[in-house]
Amino acid sequence: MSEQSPYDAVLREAADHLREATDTGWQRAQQAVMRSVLTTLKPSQPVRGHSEVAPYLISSAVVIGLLREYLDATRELRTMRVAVATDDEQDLAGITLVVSVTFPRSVTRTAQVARERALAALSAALGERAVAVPIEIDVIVADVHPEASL
Amino acid sequence: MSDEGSDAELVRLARLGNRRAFEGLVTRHGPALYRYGKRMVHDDGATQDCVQETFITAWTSIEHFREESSVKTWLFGIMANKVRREFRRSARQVVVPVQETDLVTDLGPASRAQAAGLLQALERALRTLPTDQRACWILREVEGLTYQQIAEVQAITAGSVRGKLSRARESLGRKLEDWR
Repeated sequence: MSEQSPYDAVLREAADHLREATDTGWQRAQQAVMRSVLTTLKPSQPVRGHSEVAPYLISSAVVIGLLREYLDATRELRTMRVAVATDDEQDLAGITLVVSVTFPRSVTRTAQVARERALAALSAALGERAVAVPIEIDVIVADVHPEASL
Repeated sequence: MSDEGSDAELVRLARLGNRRAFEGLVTRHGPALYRYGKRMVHDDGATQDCVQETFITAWTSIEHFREESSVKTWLFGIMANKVRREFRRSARQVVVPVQETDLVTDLGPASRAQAAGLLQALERALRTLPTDQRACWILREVEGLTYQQIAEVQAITAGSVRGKLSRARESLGRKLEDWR
């Protein structure tokens, strides 16, 4: 705000009051907004899983959520992004894991851990048969973070 | 890498499907988006719709958020589009007087009455501004966005933001003369 304006103080005070206040309309609307947003499905693609009885389809969003849980359970890394690719039959073709590695852990070792955890998650989501065939798992180390920040 | 509970961390988790993390973003940024929307469209129902659609858009497209801007700027950018669409949808702008009880503050009764009076004067003054000046003033002075961030939100140049803000301040200041 320009220091020369004679209106600076009153405008600043008015803006402060507005910023510190909460609209009662928001208090009334908050729950409805939250409910509406959280029941909206994110765009996703079906991925074929294989139980002992029959094949089934599972949302890629669920697979990604499970991958995140498995990967973030280890202290070596933190998941940043996950992409899932399927073939024409909706069978899993490969996944890409973008991770941040905990410093000063070994990047090579962390990439291996990421692959092992990802395979465990995929086996849980899609069945052992789905991961019996080779699945391309690309691990991209995009960042590092200190151990203390975990 | 971000700290637990930061916007960046909530976005990271929400991008991976964590709804509770996205809930954190709604709780954190909802009041500011609502405050902005209410001063732009002057209607609680329309404001709620704009905020709701903003968060739905953010939730379903969060994979595309590239962190080149802050989460706040990104959300305000979506919100500004919803407000513009609301303007196109309905040219009418219902004028609803601001009551003291429309806003909740932590002030005591006397200070609260004083603040409410100033706020009502501000609300009346804001209504007289052209919408682009009003948007720029709220985003800068109330929400604390930089000129460049406002330019992104409003899809105009930073120089244009500067000009609109200058005119908005002059106009608002004159209308709040009695409160100096």
